[in-house]
Amino acid sequence: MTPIEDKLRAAIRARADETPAYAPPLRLPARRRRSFFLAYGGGEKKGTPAQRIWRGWGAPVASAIMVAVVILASAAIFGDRVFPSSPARSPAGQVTHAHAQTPTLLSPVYLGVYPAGRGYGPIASFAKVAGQRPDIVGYFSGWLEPFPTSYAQTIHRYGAAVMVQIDPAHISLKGIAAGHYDGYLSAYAESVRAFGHAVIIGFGHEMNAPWYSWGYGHTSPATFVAAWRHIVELFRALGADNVTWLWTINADQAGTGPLASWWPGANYVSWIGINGYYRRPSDTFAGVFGRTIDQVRAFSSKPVLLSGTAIAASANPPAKIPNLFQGMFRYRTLGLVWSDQTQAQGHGFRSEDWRLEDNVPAEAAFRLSAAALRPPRLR
Amino acid sequence: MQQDAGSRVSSCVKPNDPGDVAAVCLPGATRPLRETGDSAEVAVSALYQASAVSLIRLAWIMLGDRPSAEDVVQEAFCDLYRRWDRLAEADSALYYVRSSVLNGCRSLLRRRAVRRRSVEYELPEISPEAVVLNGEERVELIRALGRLPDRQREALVLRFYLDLSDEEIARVMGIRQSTVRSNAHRGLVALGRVLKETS
Repeated sequence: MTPIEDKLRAAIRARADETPAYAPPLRLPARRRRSFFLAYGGGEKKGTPAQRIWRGWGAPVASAIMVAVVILASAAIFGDRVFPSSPARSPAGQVTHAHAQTPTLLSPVYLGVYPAGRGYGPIASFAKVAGQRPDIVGYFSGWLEPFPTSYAQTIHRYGAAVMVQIDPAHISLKGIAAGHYDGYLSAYAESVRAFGHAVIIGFGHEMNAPWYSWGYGHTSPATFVAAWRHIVELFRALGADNVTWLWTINADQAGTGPLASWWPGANYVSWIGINGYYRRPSDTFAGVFGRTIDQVRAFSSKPVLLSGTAIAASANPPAKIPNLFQGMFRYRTLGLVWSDQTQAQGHGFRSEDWRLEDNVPAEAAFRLSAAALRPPRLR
Repeated sequence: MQQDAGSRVSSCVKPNDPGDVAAVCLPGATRPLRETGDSAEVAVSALYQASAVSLIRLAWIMLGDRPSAEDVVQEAFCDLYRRWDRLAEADSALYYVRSSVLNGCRSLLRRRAVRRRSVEYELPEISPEAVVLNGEERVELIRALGRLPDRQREALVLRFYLDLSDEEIARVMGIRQSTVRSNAHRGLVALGRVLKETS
C-alpha cells in the first residue's frame, strides 16, 4: 500500500465519521400491502361490492381514520404533558419552544441522557440500549467554558435538545451577582441566542447538597439566588429567549439543606430538576424522588424533570427500572435524564457503575419500560 | 429504528465495519429469495439494519449532505423492495442496493451541477472544526476526491471505505475489473498530484 492510499483511506474514514453512525427508520412503500389485500380476496372482480370497496380503498381509509383517532386521543390524554406550561402565563414560553423544536409531539415524557463522553458514539450507544433516541443530551460545563455551538448543532440535528449544567466551581457567586463575569456570560448568551434552538441551562446544580463550592455550607442561599437571577436577567436582556432555565436540586436526603431557601422565584425558573439515585436494593421512587417532589410542590407548581438519575448495579437495576418509570409517570414529571456514566466520569458519585451498557438484564428492563411509556415516533 | 426489526438483527449492525455485513445477517441468505415469500419486508428491513449506516455514510462522502444521503439510501431500499421478487440471489440484494446508492448520488450531483449552471459542482461545505481536527491535508484530499470523474471517485470510495475487492467493485459499478483498476489508478495519480501541490 502506497502512502497516498493510506492517506486517502484515513481521509475517507475521517470524513465518514463526521456524520452520525445512525440510520433513520426505513419507510417502505405500501405497494406490497395492497397485494396482501388482494391475496386473500382472490381476483379483483370477486366478492360483493362492499368487499371490493374494502379491498380497494375502504381498508386504507379505515386504517387512516383509526390512526387519526388514536393520535387525537393521545393528544387529549397527554396534551398537558406535552405542553406542561402555557406560554401565556409564565416565562416558560421557552418550554413550549423546546417542544416545538424537537420531534416529540406524541411523547408523553422526555428521555434524556448524560452520555459517557462527547460526540455521537456515547449517545448512539445509549439510544441503542434504550431502544429510543434521547430528546435531551446533557453535559457539565466548567465556568468560563464557552457555549459549544457545533456540539449543540450536532445534538439538534440528532433531534434532541442540549442541556448544559454550568458549574461555578471555586468562583465567587457574589462576584457573579455583582457583574464581574458579565463578559463571559454575555458572550455565552450571545452564542445561545445565535444558536437559536432550544437550550436547557442549569447553573450550580445540587446547590442544596454540601459537596460543591457553590452549595450548602459553602455559599449562602441568598448569594446563590442573587447570582441565578443576575444570569437569567442578563440572558433575557440580550434576547436569549430560547433558554429553558433548569433549577437543579439534589433529592432531599440526610445532610442537604432546606430546598425553599435556594428557590430563585417562579419568574426565574422554567423547570425544576431533581437529581436522585437508587443506591441500595431497598430504594424506591417514593424515597428517592417522591418526598422531594412533595416538598417542591409546597412552593412551586413548575414542571419537574428527573434531571439526573440512575440505578447502581448493586441496587438491582432490572427490578428498580420499572419502579423508576412508574414513579416518573405517576408523579406527572416531565421525564428523566439517565446518567449513563461510570464513577470515573461522574460528578460526586460514589464508586459505582451507573451505565446501562453491558448489563443485559438492565438493558432489557430499560428498553421495555421506555417502550411502554411512549409510542414509536412519527417521523 | 430500534422498535421494529432492530432487536432481531441488532447484533449484526457494525458501524465501524462498513463492508461486508449482509451475508450473515440476511435471514434468507443461503436460499434463493423467492422462498422467503411474504417476508420480503423482513428481509429488506434486516438488510437495511445491517447496511444502512455504512451506505448513508458512503452517500455522505459522495454528497457531503446528510439529509440527501439519507434520502438516497431510503430510495435505494424502496427500490429494492419493489423489485424484490425479481432478484435471483440473496447476496445480489446488497449489490443492487449499493449500485442504487451510487446511481442516486451521481444523479443528485448532476442535478446540483445543472442547477448551478457549471460543469464542476461546488463541493459541500466542510466545517472549520473539521479542518482543525482532521488536518488540512485530509480535507484537501476529500475536496480533490469530489472533483474526480464519477467512476474514479466511486472506485476509490468503494475500495477504501467499503473495502471491496476489485471484483466486487466491478459488480457494483457494472464495469470490468480492468476498468475498475485503471479508474482507481488514475484517481490515485490525480490525488497524489493535488497533495504535492499543497505540501
